[in-house]
Amino acid sequence: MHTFFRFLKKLLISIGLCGLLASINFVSAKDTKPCAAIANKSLPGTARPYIFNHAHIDNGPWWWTDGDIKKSQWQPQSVPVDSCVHIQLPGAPTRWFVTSLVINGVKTSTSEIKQSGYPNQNRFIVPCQNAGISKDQCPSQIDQFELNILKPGTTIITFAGTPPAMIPVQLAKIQNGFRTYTLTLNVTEK
Amino acid sequence: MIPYRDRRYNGSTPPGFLAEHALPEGLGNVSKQASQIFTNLHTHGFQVSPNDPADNVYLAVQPGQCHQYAYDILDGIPATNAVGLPTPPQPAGLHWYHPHFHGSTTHQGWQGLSGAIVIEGDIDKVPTVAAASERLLVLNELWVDDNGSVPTALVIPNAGWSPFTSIPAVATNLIFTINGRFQPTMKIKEGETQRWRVLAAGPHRFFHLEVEGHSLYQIAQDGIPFAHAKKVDRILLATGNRAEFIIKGGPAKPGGYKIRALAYEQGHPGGKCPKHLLGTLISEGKQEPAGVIPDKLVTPFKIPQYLIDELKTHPERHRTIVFRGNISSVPVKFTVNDKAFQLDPKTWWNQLPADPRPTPGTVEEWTLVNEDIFQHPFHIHVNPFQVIEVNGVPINDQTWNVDPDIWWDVFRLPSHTSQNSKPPSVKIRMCFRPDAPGLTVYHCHILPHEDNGMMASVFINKNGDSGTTKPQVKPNCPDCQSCQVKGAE
Repeated sequence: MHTFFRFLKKLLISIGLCGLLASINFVSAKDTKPCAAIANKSLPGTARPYIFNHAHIDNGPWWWTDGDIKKSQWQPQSVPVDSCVHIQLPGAPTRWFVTSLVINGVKTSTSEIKQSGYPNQNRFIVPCQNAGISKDQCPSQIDQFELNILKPGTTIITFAGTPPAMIPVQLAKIQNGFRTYTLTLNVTEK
Repeated sequence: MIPYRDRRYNGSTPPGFLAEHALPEGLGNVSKQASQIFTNLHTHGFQVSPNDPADNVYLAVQPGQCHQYAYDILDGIPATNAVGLPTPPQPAGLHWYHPHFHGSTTHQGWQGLSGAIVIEGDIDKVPTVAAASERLLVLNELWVDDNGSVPTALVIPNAGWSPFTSIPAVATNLIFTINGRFQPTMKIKEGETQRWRVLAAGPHRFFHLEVEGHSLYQIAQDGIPFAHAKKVDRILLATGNRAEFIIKGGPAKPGGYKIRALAYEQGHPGGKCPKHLLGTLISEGKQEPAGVIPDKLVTPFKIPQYLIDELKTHPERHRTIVFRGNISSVPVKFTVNDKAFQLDPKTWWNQLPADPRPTPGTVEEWTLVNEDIFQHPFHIHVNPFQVIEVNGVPINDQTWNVDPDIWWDVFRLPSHTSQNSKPPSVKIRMCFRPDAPGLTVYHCHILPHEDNGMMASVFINKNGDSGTTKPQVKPNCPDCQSCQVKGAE
C-alpha cells in the first residue's frame, strides 16, 4: 500500500509538473506577438506582411499532381523571424478557427492571433457554381488571421473549418471540401 | 528613399518620341535585353503591321540579344468608291510601348518597363490646345519586395491593401508613381490652361483619376482626338488607357490640390482597391489673360454607313468572345473562349485557332461576354474599336463612358456580379485596316490575367488566305553588331 501511495504521489507530482509546464508554455507570449499596425499604407519601404492563402496549404495537391514537384519534395517556405504573417482563407458559410499553434514542437498560445475578414461576395462563386456546387455553399468572404512569430525554428499553424469550404478546381481533389488547413513555416533568423 | 531596382530601355530618345516618360531612360529602336528574361516590344495606338519588323509580339529577344524595330506610320486611304474601306491616317495623340513576351509581361511591367510615345498632328493645331502648356504623365504601379525587386514567384491575388501575394509568399510593397516619382508635386498658375497627356501604364490597378477642385476637359481617348472637348470631374483609366485633357488652374490653396486615384471596385478579392494619393498640384501666381478651354476640336474618323449596312449580310463578321476566370485555382486560371493562351514554342503555331480570321478592309462586330467577377479591360492589337453597346454596368458606377463616337484601344468589360441576371457584355465595332494584315492577339489588359491565359490569336487574313507565314520568333540582329543606330547603345 505504501508503495502504491508513493507511486501515486510521484504520478500526481509528475502530472502536476507537466500541467504546470504545459500551462507555462501555453500562456507564454514570448514566442508570438500581434502584428503591428501599418501606419501609412501608401508609404513604401516599411515592413510588410507575408500573405498566405488557401493556395499555400502544406503539400497541397497541385504541388505534385502537375508533375513539376514530387510529393516527397515539398518543403515549408521560410519567413524571417519577427515578420507579420497573414493567412487568408475562404469563409462564409465556412467559419475558420485555429486548432493549434506549435512552435518547435511546443504547443503555444493562440491568443495573440488576431482575426478579421474581407467581404468577397462572388469572387469564388462563379467558378464554384460552375463546378456544380450550390451558391449558398460557395465562399463569400475571406477570413484573415494575423500573427507575428518571434522564435526561429519550425512553426505549424492548424485551422479547422465548418462547414467545409467548397472551392473548386484543384481543391476539389480534397474530398468533400476544405475541412482543415495546415501551414508550416521555417522561421529563420534575420 | 524608396528602394527600387528597375529595368530600363537603352539608348537615347529618337526623333518623334518625347523624352519625358516613366522609369526608362529612353527608347531606341534597338531593344537590347540585358536581364534574365525574354522580352519584346508592343506599341499601343500605332496602327501598324503586326508583322516583323513592327508590332510582332511573338518575337523572343533573349538576354544579351538585340532586335531592330521599324514602324511604317501609315497614311490614310481615301474611299475611291462605295465598296472600299476608307482608312484614316495614324491618329495624333498619346500612345505607348511596353514588353509583351507572354508569361513575363507582368513581371517586366512591375519593373517599370513602359513609356509614352506622342504623335503630333491635327489636334495640336487647334489654337486653344496649342496655347496650353503640356504635361506628359505616366501613372504606374510597381509591385516590389522590401529590397526593391519584383518577386520572381507565382503571383496569386489576395485581399487587403496589397492585392497580390505569391508562391512562395514574399513581403511586398505596391508603389504608385508619376513619371517614376513617388507623390511628386506639379505647378500651375491660376487661370493657366495645361494639356495633360495621361497614360495608365500599371499592370493591374485602374486609376479613377481626380484632381481635387478641378474639372477636366477631355480632348482625346487612347490617342484618338474627340470632335469636342467634354467636361468631366474624374476619368477612369483602366490599364493601358490614355486620356488627354485640358485643366485650368484654380486659385492658390494651402497644401495644394491632391491628385488621387479614388477607391474603385474592379472585382479584386476583398472589395474596392483603396484610394491612393498620386501627387499634388500647386497653384502659384496668376496668368493674365486666362487660358481658354477648347470647344470644337477635329473631325474623327467615321465608319461609312454602307459598310455598317453590309454587316447585315455577313453573319461571319459577327463574333462572340467569352472571358472566364477562376482565382481559386492554383495557379489562377483565365481563358478566352475556354482556352488559356500558351506560347509553347513547339506547339503554338500548329494550334493556331481557325477563328477569328477577319479580312483586312472589312468591318466586324464582336460581342464580348464577361463571365468573371473581375472587370476585364479588352485590348486588341493594331486596330482601335468603337463601343456600340454595353450591358451589365454596375448600378451607381458612373465611370463608364459609352459614347459610340469614341475610338478605344482598351475598354473594360463589366464584372459578372449578383446584380446581373446574365453575364455582362460589350459589343464593339472595328474596321480592320486593309494595309496592316497579319497575325496578332487580343487579350485582357490586366497583365497578370493575360500572362495566366486570357489572350487569344487573331489572324487578319489577307484575301481570305487559309495560311500565313509563321511570325519571326528570333531577333533580327542577335549579335547586336549589325543593328546599332545613332543614339542607341
